[in-house]
Amino acid sequence: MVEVKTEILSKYKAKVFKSRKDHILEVDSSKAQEIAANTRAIPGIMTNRGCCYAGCKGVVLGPLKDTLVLTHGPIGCGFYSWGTRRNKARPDENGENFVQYCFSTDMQEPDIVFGGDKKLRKALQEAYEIFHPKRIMICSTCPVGLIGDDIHAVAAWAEKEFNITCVAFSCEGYKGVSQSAGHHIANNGLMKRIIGTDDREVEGKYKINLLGEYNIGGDGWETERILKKVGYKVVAIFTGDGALADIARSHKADLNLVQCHRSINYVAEMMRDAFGTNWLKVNFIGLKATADTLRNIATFFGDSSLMDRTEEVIEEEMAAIAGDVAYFKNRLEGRKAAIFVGGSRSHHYQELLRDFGVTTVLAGYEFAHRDDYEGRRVIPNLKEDADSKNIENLVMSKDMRYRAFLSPERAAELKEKIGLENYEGLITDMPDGTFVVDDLNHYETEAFIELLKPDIFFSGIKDKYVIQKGGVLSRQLHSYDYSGPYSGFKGSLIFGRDLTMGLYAPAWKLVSPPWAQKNEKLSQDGLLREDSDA
Amino acid sequence: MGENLVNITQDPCKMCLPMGVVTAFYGVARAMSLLHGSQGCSTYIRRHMATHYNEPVDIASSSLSEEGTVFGGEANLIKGLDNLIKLYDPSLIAVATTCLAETIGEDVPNILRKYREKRGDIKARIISVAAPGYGGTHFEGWWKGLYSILSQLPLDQSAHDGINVILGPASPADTRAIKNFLTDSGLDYTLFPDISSNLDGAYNPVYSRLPQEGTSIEKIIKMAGARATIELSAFCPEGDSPGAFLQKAYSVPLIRLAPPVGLLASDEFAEKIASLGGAISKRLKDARGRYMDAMGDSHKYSALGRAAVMGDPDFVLSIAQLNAENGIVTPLCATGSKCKGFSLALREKLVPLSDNIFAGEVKVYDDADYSLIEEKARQLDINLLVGSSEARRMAKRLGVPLVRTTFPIHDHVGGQRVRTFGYSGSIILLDRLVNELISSEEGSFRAKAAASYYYQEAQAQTNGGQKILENPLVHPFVPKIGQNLRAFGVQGADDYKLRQKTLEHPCFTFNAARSYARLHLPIAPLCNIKCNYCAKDSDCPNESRPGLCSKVLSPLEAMEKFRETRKRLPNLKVVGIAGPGESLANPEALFSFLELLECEDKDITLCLSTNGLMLPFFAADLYSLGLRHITVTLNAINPEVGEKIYSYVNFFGETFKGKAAAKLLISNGLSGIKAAKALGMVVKVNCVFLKGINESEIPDLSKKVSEAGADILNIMPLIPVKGTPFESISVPSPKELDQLRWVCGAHLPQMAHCRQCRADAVGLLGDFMEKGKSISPMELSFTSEAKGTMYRIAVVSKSGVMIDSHFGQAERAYIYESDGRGIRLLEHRRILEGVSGCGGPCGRGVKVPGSIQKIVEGIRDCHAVVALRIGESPLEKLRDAGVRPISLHESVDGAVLKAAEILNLEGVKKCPKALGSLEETGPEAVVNEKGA
Repeated sequence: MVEVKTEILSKYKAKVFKSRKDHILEVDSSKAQEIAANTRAIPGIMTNRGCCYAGCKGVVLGPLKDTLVLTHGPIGCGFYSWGTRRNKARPDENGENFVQYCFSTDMQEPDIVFGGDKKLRKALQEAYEIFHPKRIMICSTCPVGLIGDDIHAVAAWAEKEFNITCVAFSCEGYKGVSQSAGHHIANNGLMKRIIGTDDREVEGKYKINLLGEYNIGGDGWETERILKKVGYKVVAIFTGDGALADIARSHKADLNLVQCHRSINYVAEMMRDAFGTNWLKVNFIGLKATADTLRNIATFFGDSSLMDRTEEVIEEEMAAIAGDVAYFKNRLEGRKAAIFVGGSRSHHYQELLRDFGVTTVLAGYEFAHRDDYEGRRVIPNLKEDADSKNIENLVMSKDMRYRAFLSPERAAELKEKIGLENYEGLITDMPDGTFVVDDLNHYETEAFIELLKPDIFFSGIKDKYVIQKGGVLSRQLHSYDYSGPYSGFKGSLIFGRDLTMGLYAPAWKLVSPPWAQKNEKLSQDGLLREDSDA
Repeated sequence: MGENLVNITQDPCKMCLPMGVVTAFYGVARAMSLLHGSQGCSTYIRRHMATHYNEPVDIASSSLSEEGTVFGGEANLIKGLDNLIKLYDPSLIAVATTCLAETIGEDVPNILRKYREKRGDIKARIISVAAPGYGGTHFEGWWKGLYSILSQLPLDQSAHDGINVILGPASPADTRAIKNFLTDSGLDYTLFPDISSNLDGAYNPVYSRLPQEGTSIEKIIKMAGARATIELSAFCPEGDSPGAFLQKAYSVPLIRLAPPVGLLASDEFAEKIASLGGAISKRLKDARGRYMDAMGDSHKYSALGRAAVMGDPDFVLSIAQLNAENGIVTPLCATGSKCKGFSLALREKLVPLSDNIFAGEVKVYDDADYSLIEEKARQLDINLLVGSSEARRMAKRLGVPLVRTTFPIHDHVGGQRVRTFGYSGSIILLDRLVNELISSEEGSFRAKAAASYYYQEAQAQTNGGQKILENPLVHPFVPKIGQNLRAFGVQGADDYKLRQKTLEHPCFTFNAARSYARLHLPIAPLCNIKCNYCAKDSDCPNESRPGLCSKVLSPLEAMEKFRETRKRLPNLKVVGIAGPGESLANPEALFSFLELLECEDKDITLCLSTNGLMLPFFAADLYSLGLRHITVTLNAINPEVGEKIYSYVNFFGETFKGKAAAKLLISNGLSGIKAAKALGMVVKVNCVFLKGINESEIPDLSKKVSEAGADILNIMPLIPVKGTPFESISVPSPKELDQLRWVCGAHLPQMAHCRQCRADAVGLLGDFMEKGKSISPMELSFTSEAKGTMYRIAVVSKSGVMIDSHFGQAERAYIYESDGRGIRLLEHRRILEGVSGCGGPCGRGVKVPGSIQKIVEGIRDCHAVVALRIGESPLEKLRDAGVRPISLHESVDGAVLKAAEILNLEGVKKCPKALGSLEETGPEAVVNEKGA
C-alpha cells in the first residue's frame, strides 16, 4: 500500500513533500523503522499542535487544585486555557479549588512598551489579598519573554512578601515546536521547586505516585479507585485533581507510575536519578491493559499477598462487567479506527479498542517525540536541534535522601520482566500494513479517511467536524465530548457505550432524502425537478 | 476584578483581538486567514470557534519558533503563504499578526509587498491586519478585520443601485435572518460579512476545505458604489468602522443603527429599509404582530426579572433594549471591552424603566471581568443572567439561571443557531428569558407558601408545648443561599448586608477564617439535653469538645469582655454564643446580653449555636434582636439512631428518654431550621461524626436539613472524652471525614475548616493564625482574668516556628507555659550537649547510645513534650518519666495550645519535678527507673 503514502504526499509542494514524507510510515515489522517527530510544524498547513504555554499551563499546571495559576500576558491565552481540558478536580479539605478560576494580568499596550513586571507584582498582591493562596504559579505568554519581564525575580519577591511558594515558568508560546516544550518546562519547575520539599513521612505500604494522569472526565478517579482497592497508597497525582502539597511529598513513594509518557517522563527520570524512585510505564486505558498494568505493579513490589489481591481485584472487576463488555464487543467487532491525538493516547486507546474487537488502521501523535513512536532505546541517538536546545535539560545528582527500593539484580530482572523504566513506543504495538503519521494536519486527515475508510476517527475538537461532516463518526479523545471516564474497568464500559451509541446513531441512516433514494435527479440549479418519466 | 482591583483579571469577560479578526474573515467567500505568530494562537482560537459553531475551523499559522523571534518571522510567513495557496487555493488571504509578531515588530505589509513581487503569479489577494492580542478585545478585532478588507482591496466606485449592510459579531442564524429579510425586501444588497453558511453549514459528505459561501470578493469590491450603507452597530470604534470608511473615501452615505433586537430596533431597521425603497413584506408584518402578541402574553412574568447582561457592547445593548421594552428590569450590564459611551447609552435605555417601577439602581460597566459582575450581581439581587457559557460557574455560585446567548457557547449545542435578530429572533429570545423566570417562580412557590402559611400554623401547634411535628414538612424545592433570602422577602440592602456578613463570618466562609476574628462568650451554663459524648462536669451543649470554658460570664461581664476584645482585635467581626451549655436553655442571660449588645454595636455579626430543641420558639425573638447566623447541632435524623446519642431531653420541665426524646429533638431541630430560614437567617448545621453510630445516616441527614433550608453543613470528628459513654469510640480518619463530606456535598455546601472551638475562644480560627497579621488568642487571654491550670510543655523544634523535628533529634527544646488558652515562652533550653542527633532530615543518622535518656532527663520537669514523631523506645521512657509524649505537625504556638488542652482533658494534675529530683516524683509517674 505504498500508493497510499504517495497519493497523500502528491499534493504537496516539493519542499513540504520532503519534510512530510519522513513523518508518515506504513508499519513493517521486518525492518527497523524510523519516523520524524518533534520537528518544527510547517507553517500554513493547519497543524493541530498547540504551543509551549498550552503544554505548561494548560496541561501540566492547570489541573492543580491547591494552586493559583496566574497567566502573565495579554488576555487571550488565559481565557482560552480556562477549563477547556475538562480536568476535573474536587475541592480539598479546606474547600480550595482554584481550577474553576482564570487569572490573567491582561497586559495592555503600555505594559508591553514599559514592561509588565509592575503590573504582575500588583496582580500578585491582589490575588493574595483575595484568595490567600499558599501557592502561586506564574506562566508567561509570548510577549513577556520578548520585553524581558523578569518573572522569576517577581516570583522570588512574592515568596518573601507573602510567605508563600511562588514559582515562575517561562513558557512563552514560541518556545520549542509544540506543547511538548511546555511539558518539559513545567516538569523542570516541579522538580526544582516542589518535589521533595516536604519530608513528613507518608504512612502506608506500597506507596506510589501516578504521573501523567490529568483526570480528564474523571479518568484519574477511576484509576485511583482501582489502585486503592488493590491496596496501594497513592501519595501524589501529577497533576489531575492533584495538589502541590502532595507533590511536595512525592519523593516518599516507592514507585512512579507513568501514564502519559510524553508529558511527564522528565519528572520520572529526574526523580529516579535524584531520589532513586523507580518508574514504570503503565496504561489504565483498556481492560487487558489495566489488568496487565496491575500485575506489573504487583510484580514490582514482589509481595505474594499483593499479587493475590491483584488477581482477586481483576477477577472481581472483570466479572462485574463481563456481560456488558460482551454486548458492546458484539456491536463493535470488526470496525476500523483511526486515532490522532496528543502524545500518548493514540497508543493507549488502541488497547481499549482491541478489547472491543476494533482494529486501528491509522495512528499518530500531535506532538510526540521519536521515543514515543519507536521506544526509549532511540533516545541516545536523538539529535539535539535548535529548538530542543533552548529547553533546559536538568541533570540530577543523587539527593541525600536517595534510596534504592530494589537491589541492582532485582532491578535488572524487572527491566526484563515488566519493562521497568522503559517504553517500547507505539509502532511496535501496531500490525504490519497500518499507518503511523506524526503531526497529522487537516488535509492529510481528509485524504487518509478517503483512502483507508475508517469507521471511527478519534481526534480533537479542531478536526472533529471535518470528519463528522464527511459522515464518519468522530469522538474527541482530548475532552471526551463531555463524557468519561474512559479509564480502568468501569471507564471501558462508558467508552464502549459511547462508541456503540455513536456508530448506531439513527442519524447516519437518515442522510439520504426520500427523493434521492427514489433515484430522482436534481436539476442544474439544485432544485428538485418533477421527474415523472423516470 | 473588584472595583478596587485593577491589576488582576479574574475570570475574563473578553477574548483577544485576533479572535475577532479571523471570525469576521469567515464571512468572506473563499477566504483563509493566517495568524502570524506562534501556532498556539491559531490552535486556541480554532478550538474555541469549533466548539461554539460545531463546524470545522481552519486558521493557518506561521508557527513562529524561538529562532523566528530572534531573526524575524519573514521566512515562516512566506512558507505559510506558499503552503496555504498550494493546499487551499483561496481567493483572499488575511494575514493577522499576534502579540508575538507585533512585539518583535514585524513589518507585515512590507513582507507581503515583497512576497507579491516575488511570486508575481499568485491569484489570491492578501490583506494584512495588525492584531496584537493586547490591542483590544475580539469585538474590536472584528471591526479591524472588516476595515482592513475594505481599505486594502481596490474598490470599484461605479455607482449602482444596491445597498450595503454591515454586521457586527452576530450568530450565523441571525445573519441568515437578516439575509432573508433583505431578500424579501426586494432590494439589491451586499451583506458584509456573511458567516451564515461557513460557520453553520449543512451536512455535506463532500467537505470543502475552503469556505465557499459568504460575501464574495466581487460584491465587496462594489460596495464603494452603493447607494447607502447601513451599519448595524452602536459601538463600532469610529476608526475601524467599515461604514465610516466607505463614507469618507467613497462618499457612500452611512446609516448607523443598533442591531435589530427587540421591537424598537427591528422597527427602526425595517423603516430604514423601507425608506430606501424596500418592501415591507406580509411575512414581516405578521412577524411583528406575533412578537407584539408574545410581549403581551409574557408581560405578567417579564416583570419578575432582574437580569444581568454581559458580552460584547452591541450584544449587551441589544438585550438590554429587548428587556427594557418587555419590562424585564436589567440592573446590571457589563462588557469586557473598553467602550466609550457604553454606560451613557445603556443607562438611557434602562433607567427610565427602572425608575418607573421603582426597581432601584442600574449599574453599567465596561472593561469588566466576571468577578466584578458576580460581586455586583449579588448586590443587585439578580435573578437572570444573559451571556456566554463562561458565566456558567458564576451562575452556579449565585444559584441563578443563565441563558446562553452569545459567543462562546461550548457546553451546550446550538451556539451557531442562537436567534435574537428581528421580530422572529426576539420572540425566541423573549420566550427563553421568560421561561427561565417562570421556572424559578414555579420552583420556589411551594417553599414561599410554606413559609407564609404553614410555618405560622406549626408554631401555633408547638406553642402549647405538647405537640411536636410528627412529619416535618418536606419542601420539594428549597432555594439555596441568596435565592431563598430574596424569596422570603429579605431585599436589597438588607440582603446585601447579610451576604457581606456571611462572607466575613469565619465559620460560614472559609476565606473569612483567615482574616476575621470571632469572640465566643460563655454566658449559657445550663443544658436541656444530655449527649453521650459530652462530659457531665463540663456541661457541654451540643458540640463535641467545644463546651469548655474557664469561667461562665454574666451578661454584664460578657459585655466588658466584648469591649476589651474589640479594642484589641480590629478584625473582630463575630460575637458568638456557644454555651458552655445550651444557649437557648438560658434565655434570660442570653436575651439580656443580646439587648445590651444591640445598644452597644449594631454592626457586629451575632451568632449562636443551639441543639435546636427550643429554636422554633425563640427564632423570631432572636431575629428581632439582630441575630442572623445560627448553628443547629443535629446528630441524627432517625429516632432509632438518635436514641443512641441522646440519653435524655428536658422539654418544658418534662424529661423524655429513648426514642421519644430523640424524636422530639430531631423534629424541633428541623422545625427550628425552617423557622430560622423563613425569617431570613443563615443556618449552619453541625453534626458530630460518631463512628459506628450515625455515619451511615449523615448523608440522609444532610439531605433532610438541606431540604429544610440549611445553608451549610459542618461534619465534625468526635473528640472522645474520658468518662463519657462514647469515650472509646474511634475517631474518624481525615479521609473518612473527607469522603463523607464529599458525599454530603451533593446536598449542600460543606464546612471543612471547623476548628471545634471552645465556648470562650477568641481570635482567628486555630490554624489560620499568621504571625504579625493579627492578635493571636493566647496573647489575649493572658490579659483577662481566671487562669486555668498551668502546664509546662517542651517543644522540639529547630525553627521555633513549626514542630519540625523528631524527638530523637532534639538538641534544644523550647519550654513553654500554657493553660490551654494562652502561651508564654519560658526558655530555650540546651538539653543534649555535644551530640549530633541525626545526619539528615529523614530521621536516620548516627545514634549516640544513651542520648534518648539524656533528652528525657532534660525535659523531665515538663508535663508534656511535643515533637514531630516520637519512637517506641522514647515513648516508653517518657511515660516512665511522667512526661506526656505528643506527636503533632503544626505551628509551635498551636501545638502548645493543643498539648495544654490534651493535658487539661486528661486532668493531668502532676506537679512538674525539678531536674534530677527523681525521689520527689509522685508514685504513678515513676513505675520504674530504667537506666541509660
